[in-house]
Amino acid sequence: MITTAAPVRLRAGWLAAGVAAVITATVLGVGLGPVSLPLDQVLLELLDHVPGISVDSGLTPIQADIVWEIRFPRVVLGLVVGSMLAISGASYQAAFRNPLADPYLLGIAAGAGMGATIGFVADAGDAVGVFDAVPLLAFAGALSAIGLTFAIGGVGRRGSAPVTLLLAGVAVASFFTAAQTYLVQRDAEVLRQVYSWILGRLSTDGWSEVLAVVPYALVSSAVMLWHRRALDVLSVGDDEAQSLGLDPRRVRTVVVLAASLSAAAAVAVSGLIGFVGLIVPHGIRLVVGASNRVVLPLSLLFGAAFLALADLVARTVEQPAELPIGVVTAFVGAPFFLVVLRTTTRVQP
Amino acid sequence: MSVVARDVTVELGDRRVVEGVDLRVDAGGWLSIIGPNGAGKSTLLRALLGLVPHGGSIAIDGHDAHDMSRRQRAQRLAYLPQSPAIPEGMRVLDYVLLGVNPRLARGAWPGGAEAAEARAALAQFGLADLARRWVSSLSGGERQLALVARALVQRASTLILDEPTTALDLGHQVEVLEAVDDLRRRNGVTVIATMHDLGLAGEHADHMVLMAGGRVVAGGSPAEVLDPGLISRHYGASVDVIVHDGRHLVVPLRRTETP
Repeated sequence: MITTAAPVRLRAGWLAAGVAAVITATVLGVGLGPVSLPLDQVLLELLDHVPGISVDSGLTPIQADIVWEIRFPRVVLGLVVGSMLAISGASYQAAFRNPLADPYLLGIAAGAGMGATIGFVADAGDAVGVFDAVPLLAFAGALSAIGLTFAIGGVGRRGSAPVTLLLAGVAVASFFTAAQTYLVQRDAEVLRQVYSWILGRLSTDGWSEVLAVVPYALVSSAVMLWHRRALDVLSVGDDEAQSLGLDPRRVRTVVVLAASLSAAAAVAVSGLIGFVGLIVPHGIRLVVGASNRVVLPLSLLFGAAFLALADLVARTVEQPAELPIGVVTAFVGAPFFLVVLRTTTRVQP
Repeated sequence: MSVVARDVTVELGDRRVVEGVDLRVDAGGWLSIIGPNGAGKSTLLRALLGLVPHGGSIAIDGHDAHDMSRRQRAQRLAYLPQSPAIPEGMRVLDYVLLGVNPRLARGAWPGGAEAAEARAALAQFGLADLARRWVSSLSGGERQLALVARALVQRASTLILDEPTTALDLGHQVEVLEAVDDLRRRNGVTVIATMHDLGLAGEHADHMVLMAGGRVVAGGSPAEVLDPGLISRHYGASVDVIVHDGRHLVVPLRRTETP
């Protein structure tokens, strides 16, 4: 008997669901806020800017300004950062064959935290746009931490085990966190700024933040997506993967580097937004299985929609005050994840 | 002339685990490697697979393994580990399809022809009904059969098995070894297997070697290697070898006679 089973692939339905989620999150994110805009008109206004489409949205010039100058850049930043965090998390989990792996694990969060703290202590946070010292220092801190972790963890060296890298990450993260705590203790005035940065926020000054992260998002996502079949092969462990013609160390190094770069850039503009890299890929795996052929592209889409919606909640539930988005991702994400976990009978990573 | 190893030596740290091993397996043959724990059997297999650095030379289908890339080696050798990793969230068909990796261009995905090959491989070993199941839901025996199917899809000329039946019950031991033998007879695959069960090791093999302390201490037909004196000396246990129907059955004996 021959079976009719087909190999796993990214089904059109799943892809359409992801695109629909992104569009819904975008329209809601742009339409809702202190000034409520009619959602149908927001959709038309957005469509009007799609090349080749020309429609009259009926929004007033002021409303159109709110859309294009304030809300849309912020929603897009949420989409980009969410997709970067989610695909990086999915890639880490595949590369380390560990469902709890996350870019923050190797010191990125702690390194970025220390970089940002240095910025606040030096009172360098009020410069202009992309060239704000805090994001740059956070980015530098994240890259220093991940670089140190890679150097100590012996990435690429023959015989180096993934667990060595994880342990190196834990040690490096502790060191950077200690340094950050020391700096904050010495200069208690920055405590509030550091605290608010750690909880994450998506604030924009026009398009500068988006423009700053998009190149990293494009390059790193392309590298991760390119390696998704290799990551599937890696899921049978290093020995078997190598006996199937793969170089496990090379694949893990390249993928983790790309994911780390992506996460570092995301953290630099948004602070530490936790949980996205864990729950988005896991939610997807629970529904569609663990093939990276499917999980990585869907992580991009659903991660984007998830963070844009989380930001919508963060800035609307306590208007005019804003909740830290990291609080929202955990507060909304954890119960959602538990519901998915409970209602899905499959055993998945 | 399928796999020829000359003077193969493996050092792990400062310990020499395999020392001066010579092996020769003809195409379509079955070599069983036996020996007590720590004899270096698995390490020798890992050297053949290129998973550990080794001294000496290994030739696969007449080509020097040193000059082969990972992909080239994987096109000739398939591996069945003792306890295969169980990928979560992967269906059996996709698991078997991993076998096409060595001949698929980077970034390419298996197409219809490869999928058909994987379905046929599953059917050959009676696994067609399991194609849509998760690998993690398979029993130990089904999992080893899926690995044999993956090796078939890999189109390797040699199958390397590291104690493929140790964790299985008697029925599944026989089933898996019959599947491997089927692969050998129908597809002309060469088999190199380490085995703990000496009776089963001799059942399919046309050639056996006994390893102890990293060296080959005896080699020949199952009748020659399954010698009570030889086994007793290297395993540290008294055994009797009973010849029944031309088969050599190794039976361990108690150290002291019971009253």
